[in-house]
Amino acid sequence: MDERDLLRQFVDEAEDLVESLHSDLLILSRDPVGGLRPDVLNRVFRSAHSLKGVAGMAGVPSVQRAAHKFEDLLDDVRMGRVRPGPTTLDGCGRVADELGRMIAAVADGADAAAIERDADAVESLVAELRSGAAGAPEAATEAVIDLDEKIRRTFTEYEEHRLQENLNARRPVYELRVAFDLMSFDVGFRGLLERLGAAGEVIGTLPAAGGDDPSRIGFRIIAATNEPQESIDSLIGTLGGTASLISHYPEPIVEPPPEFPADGAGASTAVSVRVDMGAVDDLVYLSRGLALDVAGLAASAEELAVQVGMPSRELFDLKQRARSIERGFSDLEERLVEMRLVPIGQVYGRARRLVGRLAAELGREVDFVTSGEDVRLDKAIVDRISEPIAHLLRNAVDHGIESPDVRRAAEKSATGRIELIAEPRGNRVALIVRDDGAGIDVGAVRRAANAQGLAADESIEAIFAPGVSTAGAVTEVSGRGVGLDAVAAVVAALGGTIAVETERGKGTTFVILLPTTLVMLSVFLVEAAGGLYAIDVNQIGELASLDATYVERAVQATPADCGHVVEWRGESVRLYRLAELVGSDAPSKSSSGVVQCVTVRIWDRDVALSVDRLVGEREAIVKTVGRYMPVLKGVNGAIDIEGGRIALLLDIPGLIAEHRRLWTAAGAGGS
Amino acid sequence: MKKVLVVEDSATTRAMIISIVETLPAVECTDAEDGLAALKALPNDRFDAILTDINMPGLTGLELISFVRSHPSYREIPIIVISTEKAQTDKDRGFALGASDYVTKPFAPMDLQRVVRQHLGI
Repeated sequence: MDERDLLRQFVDEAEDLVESLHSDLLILSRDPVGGLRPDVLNRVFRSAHSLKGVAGMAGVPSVQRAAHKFEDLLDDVRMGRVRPGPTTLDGCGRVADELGRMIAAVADGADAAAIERDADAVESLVAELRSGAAGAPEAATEAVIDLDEKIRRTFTEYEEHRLQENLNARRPVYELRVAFDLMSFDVGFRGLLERLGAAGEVIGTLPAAGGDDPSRIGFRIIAATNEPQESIDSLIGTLGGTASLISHYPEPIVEPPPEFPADGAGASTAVSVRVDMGAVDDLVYLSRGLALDVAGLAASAEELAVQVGMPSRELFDLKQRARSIERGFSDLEERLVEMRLVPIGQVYGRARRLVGRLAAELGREVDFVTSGEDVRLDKAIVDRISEPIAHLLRNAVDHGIESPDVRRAAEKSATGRIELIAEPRGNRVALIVRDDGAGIDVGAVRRAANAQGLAADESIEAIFAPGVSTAGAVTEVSGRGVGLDAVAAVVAALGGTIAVETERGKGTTFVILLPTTLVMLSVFLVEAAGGLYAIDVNQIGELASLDATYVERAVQATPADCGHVVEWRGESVRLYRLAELVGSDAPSKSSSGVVQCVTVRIWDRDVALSVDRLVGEREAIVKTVGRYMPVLKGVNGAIDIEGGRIALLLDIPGLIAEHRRLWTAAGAGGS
Repeated sequence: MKKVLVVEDSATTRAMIISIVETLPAVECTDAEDGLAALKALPNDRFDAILTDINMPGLTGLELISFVRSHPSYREIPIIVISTEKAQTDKDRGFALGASDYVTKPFAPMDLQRVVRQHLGI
């Protein structure tokens, strides 16, 4: 293996390991100090252990030494020899930061002596952490465990320790036996380990030949869990296996008094369980289904009551009661939806590392300031917005913040400032990325847009339009255009909007406005080509009626790929027939001589959608469609409507982009 | 051609072990990123030796050794444990379970080659 290849491979793997150190430490930081999750703690140990190993193999002694010290500390923590204090995790995060910097320095071919000094720093940091932590408490158990010696011999020291810890905690320990098909066992087996891990802890696993059937492989799994034996039985039973309880505790199990931190006298007993997000969604859908049923039932009852001539007082009571049940369901929905929310601060750690590393690489001096880490958003949104945020931050460091010399020459402070801010705005959340750098050359963006054949427009927001980001434009707008269309597309697909303000020499601010959740949404329903469609009300500009003959003429006059041009309030607006966008060739219905339209804001302009009927606004629960059908371009989900109907939730920019793509493809194929 | 199964969860270390072992004449390696992947690989080939790490997620090296030694088709395959100096207890357990040899990480290429050659009989 070539030495350069080896070094590159080392850097790649080491960076991954540091990244997982960071994310696992973040996970642990949500656990109480006394109750760090052992599986995550073990992963942290393993990352440090692997980093030491790989640094040793690649011949990077400084990183090897630093990682080794860290590994020793983490080993003592996971083995219960050292008890972490309130600042231990924080300190571990600092060590991980330091290791990350060392690896970046190795990648840059920095001076070996300097990196050795960094290793010294890690060593003293680790020593400091040790002195801040406490020794392990004495623990004894009188448990009897009925564990096959053959399995026990395969336990590593750590597995032995985990067994002991579980016995000390008087957790029931099971031996599970299950066999899988030899060719495909790993999927089922890994799935089972995951389930058991979520329900408790997997301590050890021992594979064995499948007895008389050579096409099968058996496993004996030792796992501890507080779940009732019936649920373990049924879990393993569905796989054709068996479970037996192998731990026995001499006295009846007495719940130990909850442990409070010394200063938290009488603090709340925060008990939490981990729940699969899909399960929460199912509850939301179920609740909505019940609410719709109740509404239907109430309507029928009311009808019936009127028919039989029920006195108005009783009728009133009936309506009141139905409304109270509906309110109950909507409260339930809201609380369930709240369970999906996580703090946006989760992505700040990654953002900070990214800015720090990039600034160092590019020779920029940057103050990175964050706020609003407690602002909560749907986990699905947080997961998907992290990459666009990273993109904007990379742009801010790379093309926004000038080098210290340039800044000084422009009489700015040598250190630039980048802010990442989250703040609630009504029922939405604004994510703001602001830099005090060079700003964007608006004229250049406009020229680039023109070169792409896009309408000339004073607005800088053309920068989000697809096509402005091609190579020719890049140099002129100093790279700012790159990938912003991708950022805008993600934001739009999440039902959000993005805007930018910039001033030459002063800086640039991007504001992304996102819904709090993807599950609960105010939508506007429209009908087109016999189908029911929903549009996020936050995307709708206004509702309009246009003269049918006028629209018909416009449709005839212009091709459909970029919309038909119509005049609306003295401005040219692109009009699309929704029926056409969803792939129907049904003629539009306009019996009354007018065409109903909604306007939707996309990037910097409004487009109009003509529909057959405007139905009205609803509070909707959005179901994902991807789980059941292949992902539909331009469709973000499905919504149950009263009367058993379903409306598809539209992603208008996605739908229009897909329409253009199909149009172009058909044109290219035809000619 | 001698076949060697290399079980190691670090991609870099794995690539390195393979490049060292494959410089031996007529030796070919199959790689597995953890114990479970090794279980999947075992029936696909007739291996002449297994090199394995101990500390791996999912299925540890000790569990792998125990499986191989108890399996009628694999029990004769030499197993060489490659692990760090730290895990003395785990190393002892490996031997107790039937590991054939032990190489400490980090190792000199020559040392690994010597041990592998010895067990392959080349």
